Amino acid sequence: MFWEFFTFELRFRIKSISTYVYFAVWFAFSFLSVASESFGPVGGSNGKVLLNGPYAIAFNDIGSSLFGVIIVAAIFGTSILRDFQRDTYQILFTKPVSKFAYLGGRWAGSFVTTVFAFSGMIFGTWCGTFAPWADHSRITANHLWWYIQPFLSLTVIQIFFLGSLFFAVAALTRKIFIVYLQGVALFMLYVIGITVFSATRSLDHFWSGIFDPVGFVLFDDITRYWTVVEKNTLLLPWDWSGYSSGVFLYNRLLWAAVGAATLIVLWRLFPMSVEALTARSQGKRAAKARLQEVEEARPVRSLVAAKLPRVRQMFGAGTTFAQYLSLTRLRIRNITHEIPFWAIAGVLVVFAVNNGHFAGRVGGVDVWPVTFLMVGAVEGSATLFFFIVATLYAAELIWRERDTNFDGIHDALPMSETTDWLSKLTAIVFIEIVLLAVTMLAGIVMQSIAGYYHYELAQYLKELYLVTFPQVLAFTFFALFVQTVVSNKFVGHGIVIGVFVLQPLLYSFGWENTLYLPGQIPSYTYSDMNGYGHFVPALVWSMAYWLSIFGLLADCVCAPRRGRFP
Amino acid sequence: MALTITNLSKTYPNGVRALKNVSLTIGNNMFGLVGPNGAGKSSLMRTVATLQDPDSGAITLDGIDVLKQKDEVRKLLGYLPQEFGVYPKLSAVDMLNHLAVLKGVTARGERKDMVDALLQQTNLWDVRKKALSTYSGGMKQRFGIAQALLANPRLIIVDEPTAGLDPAERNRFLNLLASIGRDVTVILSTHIVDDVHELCSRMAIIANGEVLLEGVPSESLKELEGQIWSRVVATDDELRTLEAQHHVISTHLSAGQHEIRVFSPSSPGDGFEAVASNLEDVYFLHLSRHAKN
Repeated sequence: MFWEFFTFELRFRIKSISTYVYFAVWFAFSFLSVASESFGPVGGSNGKVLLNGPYAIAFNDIGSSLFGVIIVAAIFGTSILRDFQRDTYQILFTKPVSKFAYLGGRWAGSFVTTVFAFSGMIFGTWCGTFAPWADHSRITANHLWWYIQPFLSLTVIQIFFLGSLFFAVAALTRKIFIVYLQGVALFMLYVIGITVFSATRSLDHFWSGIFDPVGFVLFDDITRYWTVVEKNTLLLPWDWSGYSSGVFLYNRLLWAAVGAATLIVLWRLFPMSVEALTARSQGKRAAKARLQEVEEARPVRSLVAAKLPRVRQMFGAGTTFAQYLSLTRLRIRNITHEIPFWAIAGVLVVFAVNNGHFAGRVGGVDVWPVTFLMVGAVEGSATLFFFIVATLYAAELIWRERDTNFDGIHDALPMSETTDWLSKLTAIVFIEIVLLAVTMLAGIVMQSIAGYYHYELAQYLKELYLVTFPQVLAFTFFALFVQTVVSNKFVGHGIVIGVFVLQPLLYSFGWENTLYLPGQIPSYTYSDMNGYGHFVPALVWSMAYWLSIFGLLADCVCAPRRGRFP
Repeated sequence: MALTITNLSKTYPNGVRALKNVSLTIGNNMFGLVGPNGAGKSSLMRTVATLQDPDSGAITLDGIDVLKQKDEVRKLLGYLPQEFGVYPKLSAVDMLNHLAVLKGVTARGERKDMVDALLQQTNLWDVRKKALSTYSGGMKQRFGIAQALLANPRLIIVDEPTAGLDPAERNRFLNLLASIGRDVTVILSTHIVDDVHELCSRMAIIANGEVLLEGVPSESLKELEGQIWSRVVATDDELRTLEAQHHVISTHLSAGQHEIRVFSPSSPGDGFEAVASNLEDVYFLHLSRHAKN
């Protein structure tokens, strides 16, 4: 029985494209960390540390432990929620299924899948060492153990710990919302925690390392005084050797134990009964049940059909505008009624506040958090999220009707393609404008907290709405264009993210011209003395250039409706 | 309103020939399409509803070229697809309002009257503010019916509208459709032959993308009069023998025993009784003839 659930989970994951996407993400990340010198965190720092050496591999593994939180949540969380989302639990729980088989099979299948996804790290690094263009003075012969040891002791244990945690929370709450929320929350708490810890300038290298659930502090505690030679030969010790003796061992034991403890708690608390699992208080299913009870209790009505009123249909510019408004409103609601949007907005605010806190520190010296410093700090972290929102919602909105299977009705409505398309664009633009305003507010709040009340609103508006917004807009056009022409949403995501990631790479290989790097603008410097100075014409022209190119592309494709029926 | 379908053919990229030279004339009345699953009913309806283009053939609606002037058709059209989803977290009343705007009903008062009337009519009034995603199958189907009837459509295409409705709701829907259907063209597909019998003045039987029969249900019935015979069969072996000897068009279970219906111009003898023909006989007879050919 256990075996049945386990193999079912594996078969399910083998068939889903997301498994390979996750693998590809890690493969690309670690491949580029080796193949492109300035890509990875290690490559960019000390010029003598080997890119496929033990230090670099371990560091990347820790990075993947942090940024992979959401992938772990996505695999483990959904595996147990699937039955409740797809309403198959009634079929499942009327079979003689044991708790161990059900929970254990799902968990083990997810574990193997996640380990496979993260093994992209190993293959990526390994393949990266063969890239002919890479800096081979920083690449040495591949040692299998240098790959396996950090992967086992960092990544696999991390997957065990986080995966068990997410799995348990998902199984006990049965809400996908909570699963992603805890993923995001863990990520944010850790980032904030590290900032706070580093602000204390603590010299403790023992307890801080042991209690670090991800490993950056731990790694620093152990390798802080390592020489380049040590970094290129030493693995994180499984014994009591080296600096901060035993910290690594204790840390891994501690968090593996936490993972095991969560599993035990889950085993004790998970009720194997449909009634307990779908108790009344639970949101959607309960609402559905209540609705159906209302339905059944209704008095008998007359069978005679009442006459429907007559309405006038009007078609013209006024109606087109009304259609546009109604669609735009609907699409904005679609976005704001979904949890991922609030998760993104939440992370954006946390980063903005966190970075805003340090806006007044320049090169270790405290200065006034003047507006140009503050806007740089809050915007610096937020820009990535603006692009994420554009990428994500360009896809969601373009595919919305097909994904929800509403296209049969939607596509037979008397309205023009352009109206529909413009409403999608407007919804994204609206959301971006709101996020930009939120960023600005975060900046103002952080200035106030720092006790600095000279807010230069004009500077906020100029930087956010005249410099950043046009770039986001151009990128939105591009994302909409890509999603309209491709026949699969995830392929579209791949292309859009690919282009985004490719730019710094091309740049580092000497392809630096903004005229062919999609969406690029020249780098500029603002100062309170000169403002944007002589950068203004270059900025304006480059933005106009990319806006018109992407706008034109988007305009070309906005017309044809790609029906889902061939 | 008259809809003329001429020589419509469609082959899907996977090689399935969904429509083979289909020609139909549909006047100002209720037209029933019956056929087994995968017969091509939905393909035909989607084509008329401007959602997909045929490989060859033509469709005209009162001088409008349906395949070219799609927007003109969409203004007159009320369409209920066989399967549809809904946006999460939107209520029925909000969604109907939105769809009414998209259908060009921009006068606020009229729109409200229409949406309210439809919610009453489809028995969704009490749950109108609840999210569509919490609706049960039958409720969702009724929402689909409501959205198809917004804006007094003059061409109504409903693909298996009674699927998932309980008998009372099914009757109510058929009544509603009958009351609307007097001055509009309604195309209704179903695999429940009774729906067609109760409602449609004309019908077509479709199988494998071909029209097997087009005509008036009562006339088709008349043609079979006195040629349908029935008897009760006790064992499976007996059933097998009879199947080999006669043109058996259907079997029903009646208190655990097979009651078989046989088509034969003269009495097949042997305990068979003449019975009144029904529309199901017409349907099964044509399907079985088609299968034999």
